[in-house]
This record gives sequence, structure tokens and C-alpha cells, in this order.
Amino acid sequence: MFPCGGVDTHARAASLRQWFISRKSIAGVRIPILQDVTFHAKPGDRIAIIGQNGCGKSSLLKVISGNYPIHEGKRHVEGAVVPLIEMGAGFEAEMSGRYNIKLSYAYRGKLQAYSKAIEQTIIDFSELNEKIDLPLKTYSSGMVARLAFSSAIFQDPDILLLDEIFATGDAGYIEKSQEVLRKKVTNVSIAIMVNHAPNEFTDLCNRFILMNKGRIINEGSRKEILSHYYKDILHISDQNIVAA
Amino acid sequence: MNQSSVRQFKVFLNPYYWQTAVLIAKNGLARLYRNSFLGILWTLFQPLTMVLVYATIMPMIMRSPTANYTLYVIVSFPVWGFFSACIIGSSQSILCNGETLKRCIVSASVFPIADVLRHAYTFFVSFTTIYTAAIVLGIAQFDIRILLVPLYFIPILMIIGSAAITIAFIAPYIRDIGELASISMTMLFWMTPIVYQVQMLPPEAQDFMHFNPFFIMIRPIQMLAYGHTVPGLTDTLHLLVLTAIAVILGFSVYRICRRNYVYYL
Repeated sequence: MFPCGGVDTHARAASLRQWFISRKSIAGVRIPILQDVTFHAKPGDRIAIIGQNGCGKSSLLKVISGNYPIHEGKRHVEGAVVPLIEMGAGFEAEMSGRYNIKLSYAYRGKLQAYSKAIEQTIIDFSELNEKIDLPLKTYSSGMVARLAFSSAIFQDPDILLLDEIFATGDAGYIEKSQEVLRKKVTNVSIAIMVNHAPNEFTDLCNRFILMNKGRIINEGSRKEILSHYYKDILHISDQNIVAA
Repeated sequence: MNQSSVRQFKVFLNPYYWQTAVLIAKNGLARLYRNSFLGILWTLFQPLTMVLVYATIMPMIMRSPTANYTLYVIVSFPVWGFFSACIIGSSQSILCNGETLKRCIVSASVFPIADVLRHAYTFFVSFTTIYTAAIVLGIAQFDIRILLVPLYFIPILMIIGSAAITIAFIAPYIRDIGELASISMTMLFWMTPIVYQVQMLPPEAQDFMHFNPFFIMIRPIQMLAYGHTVPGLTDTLHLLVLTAIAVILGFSVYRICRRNYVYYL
């Protein structure tokens, strides 16, 4: 069980002012993110977490990856975790693509895995070739996305966390990326992916979890979870479910 | 120290942690000077301007003249500039990298440490260049004891690094700390012998100086580079005790604040 909550810093600043001026309580500015969540995974699990935007799916991944601490309960993770959460975070626009590959390894705490060989693999995979030494600000958004995806994907974790990760670029690159991602999800010990709608990767999953308002509300078969999600949360009629 | 503290402390002993800090520091330097005409040379101009201004004005208004006052400020200004840039800048080290920290698994302490390394680099570039120019111009004489400056700079780096971590980790909880640090550094500039010598102060004020951490840090550098004397046992001990206090304080604040800081970003 791990409740976790953010803090409304603006309200908190106002509360601090109130506290200094009139000694009013500074409590009540915490924003609940996850509540009463019990979650476990074992080797072989391919878990799809489904829910609306803002239901706590990404926060749950961030708790598993260690980005977000928990206020109550326990978090126990064994094995190397690679979170593919909002790839390209921390990229420096002024610096070259090559430099940003190294930076992305550093920001993921994986500098020990970085080498010239892996750098070349990433450059080849991203198909950026000679443009890799140009500043990132000269790249198109598709090129940045390709670099971000390529920098993130060449790691060998025990636990792979995917937060609505989709390859972008031209059709050839998308096909190539999806193939690599599919292999990663298949070969890794545990894969946990979050989505607000099922996609081609959820076909690989053997566990389905539904989240709503910061809580895990159901776990079951793909059919059962999607039916619950569409009918009770998205309020989509049966006819539209078939279309979806 | 319990097991958790030992594990957290080991983070600082990991060579990859320092490689990451150096990488981020290089990135900061490149970002600052990449598109400027003079590049890293700008790091010389700020201390040089201050030296010129103070070396011209202060001897006119000081009651008792200081021998070779220009050299005194040449030694003092870059050191103070380093302290000031690190302390004031550290309040933004974590806040400015909030989005990265929410998405990546990297110790947040690496950002203030990287900023301190970046400022240390610019300090060494400006200090070495200005001091060498002073020797060439006959303002300073080369003395072998100047080579001890890097040795005395190690505890200074540890103190400033600890202070930077302390301020950087408090900043998400108390956003006003940046302004407080800025005002404090302005006050401390005049409370520390940067533009005047400690001997000019009344005896009771000189005693008070031993409680000023910036005086404890800057004194050995002034002794080596200006006075051409090796700091005595007392001065060295003061510096080492201050280092121990700063490291313990910094680590304690880091331990307390690291847990939930991400929610305050």
C-alpha cells in the first residue's frame, strides 16, 4: 500500500504567509496522487495498466522506478529498472546529438553502460548519421524523437517500464522501432506499460490492471478490463466499443 | 550512521556520480559560452573589473594603506566570486532541473555539485590567469608556496559543495532561500576581509572573524598567494573543523530533504 501525493506549492506559499501572519495551519495543500495501491509483479509478467489521463498510471511507474517516494507502506524492487518515461527528458538543445546520447545515459544513472560502441549503435539506429554532431536545436521534432527513442531503447533491464511510448518518424523507422520494442518487451523479465487505450504492445501482456482516481480498481483478463474501462469509466456504448 | 545513511553516503563515492557531475558541469560551461565571441575569457573580466575598481578607489579612502593592495584584491576577488556564485547559484540548481529530476533516475545532489565544479573551473582559470598577469606586470612575485593553493582549495571545495547541497535541497521547500542567500552574501562580502585586511579591524571584531566561515576559508588562500606564508596549524585546523561541520550538516540536510523534494518541484 503506498499512498503518494504531490504538493501545491502556490497554496503552500500562501499557507506559509498565513502561518507567519495569523498562525493559521499550513496543512491541507497536499494533492493526492496514489491511494491504497497494492501492486506486485513477478518474473514473466507483462502488465498493461490502463486508465484515463491523470488517473495515476504514470505516477505508479514513477513510484516503481524510484522517482516518486511513498509516504506510507513499502516499496520493494529487485533487479535493474529501466523506465522509458517521457523520453528525451533533459536533452540540451545547444549541444550535439552525440553529446545528448551520453547525457541521457547520465540522467538515467547508467553512465557505466555507456561506451563508444553503444553510441555508434544508437547513431546507426536513429539514422541521424553525420547530423549527430549538429546541435539538437537544428533537428526536426521527428529527429529529436528518433534520437530520444534510440538513446533509451538500448539497455538491458530486468524490469522495463513503458509510459505510452510510441516510435515516431517515417513508416520504415516506426516499423523498425516497434520490432525492437516488441523484442524488448518479450525478452525482459518483467514489463509494465501504461496506456489510456490498448495498442499493439498490449497484445503481449498477460496481466491487465485498471486504474481510476489514483486507485487500482480492477485486475483481470484483457476483455474484462477493457469492457469495464470503456463502459464504466469512459461511458462508451457497445457499438462504439467495437469501433474503438 | 545507520545502514541507510551509509548507502546514501556511498552515492558520493561512486566514480560514475562524479563523471555525471563533470558532464553536467561541462554542459553548463558550454551553454554559457558556446555562442559568445570571447567565450571563457568572460570569466576573467568580472574579477578583473572589480580588481581595477577597488584597486583604484579603496587606497584613496582607506585610513591605513595596505602594502601591495592591488595584489590583495587580485587574490581575494576571484575567491569571493567563487563563493558567491556557488552559494547564490545553488538555490536554483535543483529547481531549474525539476523536470529532468521528475523523469530521470539521477541523484538530485549531482546538480549543485556540478554547479560547484563549474564555478571551481572558472575560478581556477580566472585566478591563474590574473595571478600570472600580475607576476608578468611586476605586481606579484612568484613564490613556491602559491603551489599549495590547490591543496588548501580541496577542503574549501568540500565546504562549498556541502553548503550548495544544503541550499539546493532546502530551496524546493522554501523558495525564498535564493533571495536570503543573495542578501546574506552581500552582507558577508563586507563582513569578510576581501577589500580590507583583518588587521584594520578593532581587536574584538578580529576575534569575531574566527566565527566567520568565509574568513576561515579565504585566509589560507590570502596567506599563500598574498602573504607568501604557509597557513599555521591553527588556521589549518579551523579549516578542517569547518570542513567536517559543513559535510555533516550538508549530508544531514540532504538525508532529510531528499525524500520528498520531488513533490515540491
